[in-house]
Amino acid sequence: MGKYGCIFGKAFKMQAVYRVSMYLGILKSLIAFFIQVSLWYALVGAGADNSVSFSDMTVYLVLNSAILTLTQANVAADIEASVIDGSVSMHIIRPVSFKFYTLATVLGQNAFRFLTGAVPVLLPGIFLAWNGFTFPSPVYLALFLASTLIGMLIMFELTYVVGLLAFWIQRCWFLKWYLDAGMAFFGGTVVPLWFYPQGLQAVSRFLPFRYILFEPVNLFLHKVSVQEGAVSLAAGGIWLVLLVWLERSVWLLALDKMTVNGG
Amino acid sequence: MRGGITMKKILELYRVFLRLNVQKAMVYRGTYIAGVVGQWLGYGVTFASLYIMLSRFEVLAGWNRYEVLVLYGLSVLSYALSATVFFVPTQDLAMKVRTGELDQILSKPVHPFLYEIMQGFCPNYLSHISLAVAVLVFAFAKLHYKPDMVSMLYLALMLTGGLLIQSAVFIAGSSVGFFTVQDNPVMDMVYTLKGFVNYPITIFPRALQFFLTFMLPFAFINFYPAAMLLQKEIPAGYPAVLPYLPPVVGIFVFVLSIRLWNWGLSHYQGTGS
Repeated sequence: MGKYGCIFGKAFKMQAVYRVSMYLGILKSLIAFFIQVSLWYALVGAGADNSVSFSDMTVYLVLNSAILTLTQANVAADIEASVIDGSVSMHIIRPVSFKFYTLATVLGQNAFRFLTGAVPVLLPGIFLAWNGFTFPSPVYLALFLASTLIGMLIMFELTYVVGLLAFWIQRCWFLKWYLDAGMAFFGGTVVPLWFYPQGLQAVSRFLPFRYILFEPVNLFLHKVSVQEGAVSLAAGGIWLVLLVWLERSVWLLALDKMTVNGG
Repeated sequence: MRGGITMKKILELYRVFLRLNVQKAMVYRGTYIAGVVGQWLGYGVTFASLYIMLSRFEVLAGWNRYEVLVLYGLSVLSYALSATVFFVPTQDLAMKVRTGELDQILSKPVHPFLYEIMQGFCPNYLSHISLAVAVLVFAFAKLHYKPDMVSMLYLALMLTGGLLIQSAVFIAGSSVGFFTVQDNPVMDMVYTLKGFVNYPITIFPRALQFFLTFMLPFAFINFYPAAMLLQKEIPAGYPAVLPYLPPVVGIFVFVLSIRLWNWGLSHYQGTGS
């Protein structure tokens, strides 16, 4: 664990080098949060839909930014760069697993983003959500934590598999657009899936995106029964297993591809 | 030396560079197309989310779903048109200062700003432009909007104004790179601030409406034009002339931003790399 801890720490510190960027980053998250809060305040306040309260929406926004910052780092861009300049071969001969090296780096970057992007909105978030907020019961809290963990791992596996495609197509800056689009639309990060038409909600159940963020929030807010929560937890778990399997296969193929390229 | 170049020559040069840039993009044709589709998806999802959200809630501060699509569509369209010309020249300025690439540009026989613009044409915004136009046509059709000559002319003028404001943001934001070197955190900040005008500004507190109108005039990019076209209320007590001002505001901030850029350049010393 020691070496990965070290990689984690380095990635974290590298983010903190640009101090001005850091402070502006905090300000940015506060502004973005404020915009979203104003938007949902106007929408929920108008009263065309009473199924969700402003307090629920605020919790949703806070958890949204917390989980998004924890899963945000662009693995594809890192892998792309190291495939193009060849430094990936150096990574492979090192006595560290490429996957866990990437994971540690990503976690380091994300931990920093979490501190500057999500922690600052926590206080105003609690203040705004206070009226009408009930803390989740222990069962729900446990389910929430489990599904958040699975969700984060799903997100990492997704970005990692997509990143590995760099071995074949080299230029893959655009892949992130596809992933982000899927996440925004079927993961409910822009508009919660509560407000989607039935058809789209049904489709989203067969895609991995909603299990990353939407289902954890559902559990935190007691929006589903324990059984439903358990089902979505299981669905997330199945996706995770599938993605790990896919990622292993793609990685083996990528190694093969490397050998073909020769040195 | 720099005074000697004629407008005709400049346009000719721009055409040559433009052709080169398009050819360059076409070398990786697959990537180009995949990128266009990806961006289409990315912005398409945002449009669709707005539509879904307002299908459920019906109105946002008095604007229905089609009206909000017009608002956002105007913002994306003016951004994309401006970014086609100004994104590349302004994006990497801080980096060029650090690597010393700017010194090279200073030695060209045209003004460095002009040179940067010439070599920076970016054909990738076709996706945003086509999508925004499609959404605008869809929304106007759904609103049973009957375009006449006057309103078309108005729309064209307003788009020009929005385009100039968007360009001024690029130029002014990038000139910070002359001083910060390497990294320009201001640009990111500006993108966040532009998020305010994705929605009618009347959902925000009065102080912010004032800020977005008179201090950082983003509301002129899309809010005032859309409010005029769709007959929506502007903030209470604000002069009724505001919806006619975007082109004026546009010219003013555009000139100001170029002055800022030149001022930055005059303080440029090189980094010694």
